[in-house]
Amino acid sequence: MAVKVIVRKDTYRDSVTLMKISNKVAELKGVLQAAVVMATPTNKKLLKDVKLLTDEIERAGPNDLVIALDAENEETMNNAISEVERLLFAREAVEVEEVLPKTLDSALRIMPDANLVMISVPGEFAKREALRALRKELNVFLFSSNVPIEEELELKKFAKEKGLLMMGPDCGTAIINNIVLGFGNIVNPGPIGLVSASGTGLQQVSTLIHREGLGISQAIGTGGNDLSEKVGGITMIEGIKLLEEEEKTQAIVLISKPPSPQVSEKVLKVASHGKKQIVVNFLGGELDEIRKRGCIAATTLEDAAKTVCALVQRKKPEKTIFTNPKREIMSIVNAESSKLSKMQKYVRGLFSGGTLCYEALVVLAPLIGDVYSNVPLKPEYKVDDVNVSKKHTCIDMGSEEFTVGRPHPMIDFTLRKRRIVQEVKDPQTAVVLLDVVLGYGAHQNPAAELVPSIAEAKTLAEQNGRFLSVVASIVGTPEDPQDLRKQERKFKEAGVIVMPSSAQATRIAALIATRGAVEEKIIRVR
Amino acid sequence: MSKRENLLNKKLKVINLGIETFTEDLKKQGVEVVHVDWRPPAGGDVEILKLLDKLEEGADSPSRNCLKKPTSKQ
Amino acid sequence: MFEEANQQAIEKIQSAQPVLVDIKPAGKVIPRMKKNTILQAGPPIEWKRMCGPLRGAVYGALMYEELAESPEEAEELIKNGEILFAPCHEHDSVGPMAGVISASMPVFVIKNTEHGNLSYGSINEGLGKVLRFGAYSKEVIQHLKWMEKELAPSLKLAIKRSGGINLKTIISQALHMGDECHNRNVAATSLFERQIMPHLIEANLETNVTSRIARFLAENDHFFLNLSMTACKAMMDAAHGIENCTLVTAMSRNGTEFGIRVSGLGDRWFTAPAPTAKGLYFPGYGPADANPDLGDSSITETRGIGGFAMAAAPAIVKFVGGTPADAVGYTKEMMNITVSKDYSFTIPSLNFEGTPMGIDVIRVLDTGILPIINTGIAHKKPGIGQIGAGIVRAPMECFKNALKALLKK
Repeated sequence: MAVKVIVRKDTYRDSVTLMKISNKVAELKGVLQAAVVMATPTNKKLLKDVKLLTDEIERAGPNDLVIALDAENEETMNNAISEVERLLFAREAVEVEEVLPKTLDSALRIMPDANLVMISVPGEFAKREALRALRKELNVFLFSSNVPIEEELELKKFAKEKGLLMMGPDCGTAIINNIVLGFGNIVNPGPIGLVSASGTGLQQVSTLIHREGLGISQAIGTGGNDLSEKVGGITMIEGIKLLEEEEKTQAIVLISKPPSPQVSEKVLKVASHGKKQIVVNFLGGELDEIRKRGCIAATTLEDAAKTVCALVQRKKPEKTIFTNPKREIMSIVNAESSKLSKMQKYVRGLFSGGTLCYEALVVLAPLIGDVYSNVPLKPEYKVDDVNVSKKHTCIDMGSEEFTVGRPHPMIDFTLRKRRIVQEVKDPQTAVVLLDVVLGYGAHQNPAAELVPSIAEAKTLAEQNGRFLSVVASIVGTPEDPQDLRKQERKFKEAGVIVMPSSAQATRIAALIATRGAVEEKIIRVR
Repeated sequence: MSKRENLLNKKLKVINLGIETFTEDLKKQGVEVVHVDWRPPAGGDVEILKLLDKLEEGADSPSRNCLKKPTSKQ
Repeated sequence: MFEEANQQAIEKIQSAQPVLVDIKPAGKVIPRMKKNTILQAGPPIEWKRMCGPLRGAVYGALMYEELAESPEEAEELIKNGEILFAPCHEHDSVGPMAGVISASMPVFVIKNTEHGNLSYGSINEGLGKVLRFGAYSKEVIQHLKWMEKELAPSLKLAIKRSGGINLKTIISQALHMGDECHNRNVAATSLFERQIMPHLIEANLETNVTSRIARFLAENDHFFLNLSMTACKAMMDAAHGIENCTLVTAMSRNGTEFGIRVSGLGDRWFTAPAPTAKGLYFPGYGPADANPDLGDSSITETRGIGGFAMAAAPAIVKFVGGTPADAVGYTKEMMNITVSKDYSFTIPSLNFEGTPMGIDVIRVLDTGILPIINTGIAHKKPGIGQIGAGIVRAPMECFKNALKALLKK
C-alpha cells in the first residue's frame, strides 16, 4: 500500500513521546513503517532520506505534527491511524496543582532559586532557550543535538564569560552532586571527577570506577562536539578547572574521541597546569603527546577507570587485558569457536553507544585489521549500506540513519533485534558483539527484549549447521533500576558470553572469531 | 565571581524544558524540579524567531530596556 | 522601549472605570455614523466576502431602517454602493455575533469616568432567532422596533435616575459568582437587574411596560454580555494609541476574518482567516454546520475576562467541553502571554490571583501560546442561531504581522 501522510497543524509533542507512539504503532500487525515526528528541518531531511517526504510535509513547520504510515492494507492503515490519534490525545487526569509553566520565565517564578536548566527541545530552538537560561545566570545541560557549531561556540563563549557551566549541545549524560542528569547510572559518590565528550564513555568509566569500590565526585558532560576545531574544547577546559578547584575530587579523567592536534594541545596544556592527577583517554590518539604533558594516557575506557582508581589508592596502575585468568578465557574461546563452521569468521558489532563502537574499532584494528563501519576509523572502510554488514563490521546503531522517528537503541531494541537475526543469516558471521547500557533513560529490561532474538538467531544458526557466538558487555551497576546482576544472569542463561567491560568483550570476540589466533597480538598491545 | 559556585556541592534545583522522562527521573532521585511544557515559539516560524532574537539582543545593551524580567506587580 | 509604554497602558486599563450613563440612538451618538452606515463586528470586510449570518443581519437592519422592503431590495442598495459598511470598533462600538448596528438602533452609552472616553454597544435582543445570528423575519424586525420604541426609552429613564451604573464593579462581583462575563453572564445579568429594577419601577411607567421590560430582562441570561463587551471596549480604548506599546487592544471576528489591533500601531488591523471553534454542539448539529468565529465579544478576552478568566467559571466546561481542571489551566496558560495581573478582577479558586491582563504581541510569539477565547458557535446559514459553544485560539498570523509592523518603525 502507498504511504499515507497526515499533517496536524499546531500540535506539538516532545520527541520522546512521539518516539514512543511511533514505536507502538510500528509494532501493530500489518504496519510496515511508521514515523510520527514534528516537521522540523532536521526531521524533513531524515524523512527525505527514507523516502517519506511529501509536498505537504515540506510545507509544514516545526509546530506541525507529521504522521507517515505504510501499511499492508486499508484496514490496517485505518487502525494504525486511529491508534496514533488515540495515543496523541490520551488524557491523564490533571490535578489543579499540576498546571505546568510554559516558559522558562514562568518556571522561574515558581522556582526563583533554580541553578540548572535542562534543555531537550529540537536543535533549531536550542540556542535560544540556552541563551535565555545563561542570561538568567543559570547553568545549562543541553541535551539537544543538531545545533549548528557556530551556535555552540557562541553559547560556550557566553557561558564562560558569565562563569556558568554549559554542558552540551548533544550532551546526554552528566552526574552533578551525585545526581544523574539525562542518561546515566547510579554510582557511588567518591573522589574521582570525569569530564567527558562522550555519553556512553562517561557511563562505562563511571560504572567501572563504581565496581572498583570507588566513586564519582562530579561527571561533567561537554557534548559531542566540544573538542572540535571550532569549539576548541571550551567546556572540557572549564570542566578541568572546576574539578581542580572542587574539594572532593582527587583525580580527574578526560574522555573523548581523538581531538585534532591543535585542540589536544590546548586541553592538555590546561591539564598539565593542574595539581591533581589527570588520566586522559582520547580513545586511540597520540599517547606520547599526553604523557609529554604530565598526564597519564589510557588506551581504553576500562584502562582509564582502572588507572585512575589505582592512582587514588596509591597503587601501581596495571593494564587489564582480561579480568578472568587466561586459562578461563581460552577455555571459553575454545568452547565457542569449536562450534563454528569453517566459513564463519567475521565479527559483527551492533552498538547502541557510539563511543563503545568506536572503542571496539580501535581495539580490533591491531588484532583483526580494519573493520567496516558507518563511523569507520578510515574513510575507505565506510560500509556502502548501513543496513548490510561487510566482512568485519561494527555499526553504531545510535547514529542518525537509524534514529529518524525511532527511539534511540538504548531505549528501543527493535532494530538491533532484527539485525541480530539478519547477521546470523550470513553464513560468514561468527560472532555478534553487543553493548547493553543500563541506568536512567535506558530500557527497563534489555534482557527481556534481546534474549528472545538471540535465542532465535542461535537456533537459526544451529538449523543451518552453524553456531552463532554472542558476546556482550553490560554498562551498569547493581544499583541501577535494571539491576546489573539480574541482567547479566539473564544474558548468561541465554548462552551469551558476558564480559566485564566493552574492551574485554571486544577482545574476546576477536579471539573467538579467529579461533584464538590473535592471542599473541592481544598480549602485545599496550 | 563564578556562578558555577552555586551549582557544585549545592542543592540542585532544576528547570527542565523538553523531554518529560528527564523530569520523572529527577523526581525519582529526590531532586526539586519544575517541568516546562515547552512548545516552539511563533509556531516555529524562523523569520519571526530572527526578529524576536534581534529584539532580545537589544535588551542586553544598556541603552534599551525591552523584555525585562517580570515586574513586582505580578 | 516597549516595556515603559506597556506599563503606561496597563495603568490605564487598570484604572479605567466604565459606567453605563445613557441609551441613545446610534445615529445620534456614535461618531461619524450616517443614516446609511451599517456597523459590523470584526475587521473591515466587503459585502461579497461576508458570511451567512452577517448578510442576514445586514438585510434585517436595512429592512428595520426601512431603507429596503426585502432582502432583494437590500442587495440592490448594497450593489449600488449606497450602504457604508464599517467595523464597530472603528466607531468606538462593539456588537456580539454579527454585531450589526444601524442608525436607529438604541445603543448603550458607556463612559470611562477615569479618562473620559466613551464606548457604545447594541442592546442584547435575547435568545432564539435574532438579528445577531442573521435572522431577518418580520418578527425579528418587530422586536427590534419594540426595543427602539419601548425598551430603550424606559431603560434610559431608569439609567438616568440611577446616576450611572458602574459596570466594573458588577464584573468584579460576577467573577466571584461563577461568571466569566463572555459566555457565562447569568450572575452579572442578575446583579445588573437588581440594580436597575428599583429605578425602573420608580420611573413610574405604565404597569404593562414595566412588566414587559422586567420580563424581558429576566428571561435573558446573557443580557449583560453587551454591557460587559462595551465596558471592556471602554477600558481597552483608554490604552489604545500609546506609542511603542505592544499590547493588543482589540481582538475581533466578522465570520470570515479574525483581526487584532495593537496599541502602538494605530488603526491598523492584522488579520487572518477566522478559525472555527472546537467544542460541544447542541443536539442535531455538528462541525459541518458551524460558521467560522464571529463577533466583537472577544473584547472581553482582550481585557482579561471571558476565556482568560475561565478558572472563575469552571461550570462553563459543560458548554465548551473539557474538565474544570482545564478551565484553570487555560487561565494559568494565559498568564504566560500577558504583562500583568488585574487587581480588581480576581479569582477565588486561585487564591484571589488577578486575571491575566495586557496581551503582549511579543510574548505571544515568544512562547508560541495563542490567546484563548470562549465562544458561541453560530450556524453558517443566516437566521438559524447558536448551535453550540467552544474554544477558539487567535491565529498566529495576526501576531506575526503585528510584530513585523512594530519593528519597521
